[in-house]
Amino acid sequence: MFKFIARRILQSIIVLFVITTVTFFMVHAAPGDPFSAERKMPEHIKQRLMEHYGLDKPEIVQYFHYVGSLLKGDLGPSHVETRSVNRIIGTTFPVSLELGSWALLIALGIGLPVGIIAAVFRNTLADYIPMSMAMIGICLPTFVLGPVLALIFGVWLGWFNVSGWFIPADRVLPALTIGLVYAAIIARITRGGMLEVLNQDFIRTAKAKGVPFPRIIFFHTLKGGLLPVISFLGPALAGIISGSFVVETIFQIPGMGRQFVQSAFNRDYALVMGTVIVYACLIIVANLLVDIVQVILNPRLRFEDS
Amino acid sequence: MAILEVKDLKTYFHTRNGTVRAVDGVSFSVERGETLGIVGESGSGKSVSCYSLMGLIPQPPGRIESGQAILDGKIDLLNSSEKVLRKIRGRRVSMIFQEPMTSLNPYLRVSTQLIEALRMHEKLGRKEALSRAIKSLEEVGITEASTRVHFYPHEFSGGMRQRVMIAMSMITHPEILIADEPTTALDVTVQAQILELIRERQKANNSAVILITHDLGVVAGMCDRINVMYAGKIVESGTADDIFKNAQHPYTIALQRSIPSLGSKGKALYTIPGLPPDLSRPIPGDAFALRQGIKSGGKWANTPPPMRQVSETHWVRESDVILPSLEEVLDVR
Ligand SMILES: Nc1ncnc2c1ncn2[C@@H]1O[C@H](COP(=O)(O)OP(=O)(O)OP(=O)(O)O)[C@@H](O)[C@H]1O
Ligand SMILES: [Mg+2]
Repeated sequence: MFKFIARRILQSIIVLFVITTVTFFMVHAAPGDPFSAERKMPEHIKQRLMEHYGLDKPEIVQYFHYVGSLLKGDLGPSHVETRSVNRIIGTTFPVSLELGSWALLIALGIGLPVGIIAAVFRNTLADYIPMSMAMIGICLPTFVLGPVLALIFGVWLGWFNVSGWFIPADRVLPALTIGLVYAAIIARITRGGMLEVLNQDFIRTAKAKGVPFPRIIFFHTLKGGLLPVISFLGPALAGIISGSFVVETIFQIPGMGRQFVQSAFNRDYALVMGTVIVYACLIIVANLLVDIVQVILNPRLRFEDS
Repeated sequence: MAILEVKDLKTYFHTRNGTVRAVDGVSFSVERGETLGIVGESGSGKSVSCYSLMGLIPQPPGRIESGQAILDGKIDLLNSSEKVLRKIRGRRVSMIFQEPMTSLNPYLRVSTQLIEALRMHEKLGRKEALSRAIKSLEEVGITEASTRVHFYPHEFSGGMRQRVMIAMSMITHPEILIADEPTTALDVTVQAQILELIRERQKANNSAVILITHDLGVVAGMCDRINVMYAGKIVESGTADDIFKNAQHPYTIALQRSIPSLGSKGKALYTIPGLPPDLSRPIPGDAFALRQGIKSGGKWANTPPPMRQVSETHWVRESDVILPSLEEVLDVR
């Protein structure tokens, strides 16, 4: 187990390095620069700015300079805003993290029980109704669901603010928008996983032993049945936590997703790089966590490794 | 008195393609300490009869249409509440399955699976149950049981897993053990050991054993009495001697002739021509007579053939099928 984690961390560092390098040169290869904004600025001022940020040097020099400070944990200054990238991400990331955590809670809290119930009562109304709703949920894009929720609960019922991120209640609508979509996917995956295991021979063995039905579900089936959900959560976790750009825009949330897109439009090289690296770390950590949980749940994996 | 008495068991599957009469009026009984063999080709309804007794028939599509299965003269296994049955399954009646590779839960340690029945049925504490589990593994010939009890199933070979299954099914000292082709998936050298083990455990507990197999060779050495099944019905029933020395039904005779060990060496082996009938259509008369390449007098074409008593222990279903000779069978091939 320990060896496995160590190896994965080493792999992650390599991946991170490759991502950093590729992104760096791609961002710089994109047409335009941080200062070619709408407002034209005098050439000599632009020249000074370029010098200030070191953008006048050859790209390879800039690259080594960037990696150098990155190793020290410094993501550099933003080329557009006055704050450093560390500061900007330091304020936007916690917002996205909080939103994502609520969304994840909703996704699992609804998705898992619904999926389990649907599998247990397969081919009855307790299966058909929630599964049809889940299908709708999967097909519904967040840019539709978000405004619809805002319209119903914000405008008509007036229970929540339509947008903003100030009071605790402001978390509800955006978290629901992300959470419900993932809940729908998780419900379907859970159902599939549970059904797969319920059809296995060893469930028949458990019945023949006289194991009561609830124990068959929660003790004999759940571990194997949740494996597909866990593997789905790997990539999904990063997506949920980084908060979708769309949802952050709809509800005017000062999160990282919105920041990321803005920075790309502004050609704010350092900020783009910073967000990409944070995203990459997030994805890597999420996948590592998922792999560890999978190994814990599935003893067969444990063996192959050692 | 018989420990289990099954009367007129009918289990049908209601599928889109019609009603499959998998088990169609089966009656038999087993005494304590006795071994009953159930023999028949694939699809003859052996597993379904036993699954019916254990409440393992998937419903739907399956349905137990009629019958009784009286345990120890008191409880009807087919018509009792789930609560009553749960206390019987795995304690008084237990089962070993055909597929040792998949019949143990891969996500749980063997120890967890072994002690489950003890904790549930005998309300034993963890420690006590664990020491019983270790003992039960030793009894089925697993060495270093106190370490290996904590292994996961995938850390055992197929033969070892079947030993674990036997240990698990015998751990509560059941009165009846149903073994559904316990050796079919195993290699020949292991088969004999497993059968021997079942017999030994049976003696130790004075259990009744119902041994299902499609191989007459297996029942020859094991069983006191044998039921031969064909297309959901018992066609012949008797002691091992009745069946092996005085077989009456043409199907039993054909089965016997196709056992390699009983046929003489070097000669071509007998095979029964044709295939068993499609059980999703009603069969009005003798099902065996419907088989391709088999001739009959036609007496039982439209009336169900009754059972005839041959001796005190020996019953056979009427049939006027004339088996084709070995030469004819070979010609067709
Ligand atoms: N779930 C099911 N749905 C429909 N038909 C079924 C089902 N289970 C069993 N059957 C049918 O019941 C009949 C008897 O099957 P059974 O499994 O008892 O045969 P068997 O004698 O045990 O054969 P084998 O030696 O292959 O194990 C078969 O024709 C089979 O197709
Ligand atoms: Mg079978």
